[in-house]
Amino acid sequence: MNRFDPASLAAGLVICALGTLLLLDQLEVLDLRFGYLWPALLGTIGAILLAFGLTGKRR
Amino acid sequence: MTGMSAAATPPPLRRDRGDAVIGGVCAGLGRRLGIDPIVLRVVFIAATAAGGLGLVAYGLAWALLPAEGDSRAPALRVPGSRDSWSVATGIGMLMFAVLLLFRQWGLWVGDALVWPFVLAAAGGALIWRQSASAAQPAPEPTEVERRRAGNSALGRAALGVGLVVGAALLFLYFNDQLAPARDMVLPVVVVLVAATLILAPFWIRLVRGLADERAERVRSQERAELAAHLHDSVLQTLALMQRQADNPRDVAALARRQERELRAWLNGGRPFGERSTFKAALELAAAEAEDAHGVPVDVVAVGDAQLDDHAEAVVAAAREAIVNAAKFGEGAAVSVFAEVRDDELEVFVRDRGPGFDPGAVPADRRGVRESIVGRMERHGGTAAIHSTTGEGTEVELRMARA
Amino acid sequence: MSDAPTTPQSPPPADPPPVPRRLTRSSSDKVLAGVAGGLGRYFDIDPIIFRIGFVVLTLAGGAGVLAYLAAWVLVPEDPVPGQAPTDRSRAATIAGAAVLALAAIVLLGHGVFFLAPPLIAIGVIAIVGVLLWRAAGGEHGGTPAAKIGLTLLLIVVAALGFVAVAFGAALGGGAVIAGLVIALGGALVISSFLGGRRWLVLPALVIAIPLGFVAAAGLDVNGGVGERDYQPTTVGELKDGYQLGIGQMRLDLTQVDLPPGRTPIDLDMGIGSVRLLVPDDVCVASDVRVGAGYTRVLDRDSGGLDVDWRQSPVEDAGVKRLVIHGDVGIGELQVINSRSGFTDWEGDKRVDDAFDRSFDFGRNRIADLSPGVDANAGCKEAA
Repeated sequence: MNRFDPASLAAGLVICALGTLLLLDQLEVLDLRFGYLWPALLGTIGAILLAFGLTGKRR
Repeated sequence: MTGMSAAATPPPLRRDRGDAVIGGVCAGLGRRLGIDPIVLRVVFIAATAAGGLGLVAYGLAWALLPAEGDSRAPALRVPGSRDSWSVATGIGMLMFAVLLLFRQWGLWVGDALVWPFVLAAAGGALIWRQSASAAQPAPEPTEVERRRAGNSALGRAALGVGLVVGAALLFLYFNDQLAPARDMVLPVVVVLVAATLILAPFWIRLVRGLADERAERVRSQERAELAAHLHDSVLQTLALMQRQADNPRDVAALARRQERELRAWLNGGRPFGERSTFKAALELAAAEAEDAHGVPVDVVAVGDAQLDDHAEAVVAAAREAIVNAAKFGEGAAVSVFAEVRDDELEVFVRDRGPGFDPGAVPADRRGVRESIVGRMERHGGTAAIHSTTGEGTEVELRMARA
Repeated sequence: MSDAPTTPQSPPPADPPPVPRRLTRSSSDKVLAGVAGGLGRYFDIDPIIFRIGFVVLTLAGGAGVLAYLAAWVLVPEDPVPGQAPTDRSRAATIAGAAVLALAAIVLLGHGVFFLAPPLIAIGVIAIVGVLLWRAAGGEHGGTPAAKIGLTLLLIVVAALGFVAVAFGAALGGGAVIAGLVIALGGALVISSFLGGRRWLVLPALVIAIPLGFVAAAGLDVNGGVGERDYQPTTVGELKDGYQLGIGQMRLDLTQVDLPPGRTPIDLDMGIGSVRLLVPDDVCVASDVRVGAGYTRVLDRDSGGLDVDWRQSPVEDAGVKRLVIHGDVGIGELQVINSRSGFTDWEGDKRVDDAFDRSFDFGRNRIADLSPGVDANAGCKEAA
């Protein structure tokens, strides 16, 4: 089935954002500390769960 | 037609949500192993007390075993309980993340105030939602659904109360008031326990009396419903049939229609004629064709599915095939067999009419054929028409499910 | 004449699943509530054995009474012949289970409920992982045994992945790994137009999470592993910076005669502990960053996550000043002089206090270990 899956799109974008954040930290542009890591991680996982939950795959 | 022998397989290992206390793990295991779930519950509790293993094992089993209760209820509601868990957890995590971000940025009143407040708000929201949804019951739930809804309502209310209590304890802990609070609470608890022990027998008797009364009320209500239904439909049909006594065909049609309605009412409690699912739509199409052309149409449907575009297409194509069979089958009965599998929908429409030679097809019938095959193929399915002169016709429709 | 239409055969009904034999309280063989009678009937053993058991358990701590009461509530009575067996209400079952749990605790005494933390942690991680997998649409039938096996395999792979990524990031490959995360995210975006490959979320998270932790802690394990002990005797032997990847580093500067004015020193530790002993007459200024752990300079300490410590006392002219720049990923950094000892984390009450006060997740509260006494007296010129 080649239908557009919006949940995958949302999850992909959120993961790209997280990866960019990590990359910027590794390149010393930002300084990621735990105080910012927790919101970033929790927000990413929360957004992914939300996206998957709203568009549940039918079986 | 594929053979339909069902090999005897042992019942699969599933959670049993209908019989569940918490997650149905013990009920499902008990069913599979043939022992009383109570024994398993005792084992889990003992294992929990001896190091916490029971909790971990129960949690793993809960997450790994699929739920049996799900497949029993027809697939009507789109957001299943699993999906709403994902949504709720997702939203919770996002809000938690925002809170932590504010904390990092310094827009913060103080740990001792915010966290207890958040917990209390969450608990309060759960309790509130519980009482709100209890005030508006879902329309016509089946017995299993009602019981499960009651159970999950109890669970949610308990969780809400637990959260509020946790918030209070957390607040006291942050302000170093935990020990003094305990000293104050202990006498109150002792008095409460003593009072409960004294009043328990009266309470139990009262509750049991209420339950009996409610059961009696439900029984009489059901009796009234049955009487009303009999009066409305069956008696009227019988009266009609008497009036049409010299028209055997009409009498037969009336009888068939009433039989269908009564059978549907007895089986599901849902009024016949609702186009809610694939199976219902198919049966409705068959009934309409039967009424219109006076040819008996038998429908056997295994499984059910939601009525999405693909299913609608199948129903429409099947309707064409049935009407076709009724029109050109020279009065022979039409049989429809539909099967809903995990990956595809299958419908077979058969008649024992004169059949036709696929090579020599009159023009108008070829158009009809195109509307069946064409419609299926437009939605990604397939249609095949097999016919032999003198042997009847079979239309085979297949559509892959999303 | 057309024969009767052949109705397609529906599959014959499968055998109904075996109904479990129910445990019920006996109505015929009852002394009190029929619990022992019912148990005896269910297990096919003489009920007298259960009666003796209950009495013995009662004598040994009262658990017998509790268990009997629990069974009374939990287990339904014999059904009246002709009616379907009744089920217990849910509330009654929960109450009964709670009483049973109490009985178990009473019976098993102290060894109870020491929830083995690692087991619980693994269990929780496993459950979260399974839920994520199912949310991503991982269920596709198959026997439960195969699914459980597959899930456990996934969990093991994920755990190994965590460790591998953590090490890779800590050794300096963090940028590449971050790029990998972005790539996976991009793949997920592209796949969304082709039907969506939701399971890509799992490897992306397995890679991103340990990288996040290593990045937040500022963990860098380059520089060797092991124990290092330095005891320079002259200023010449004193290095500008000391670095260790994983292990313990101990630096004793009490033999060194520091020049007046500033002497900078860099301390870098990945995972482990750094301990510095300084002479009494030195003024200590410190700028320490600990990703996760504890730091103590003379008589002040702090701990937790994201510890960001800066202490720059005003010193009189001509005083010797040691400027410490410390960077610890996960671990501790302690600077003391001869008047105090290192705090160790083995039940030292003072450490417990410090932890309670200071372990506050990034708020960086600094605690004074000896209020009223200034351990950094070296900053004032000796009279």
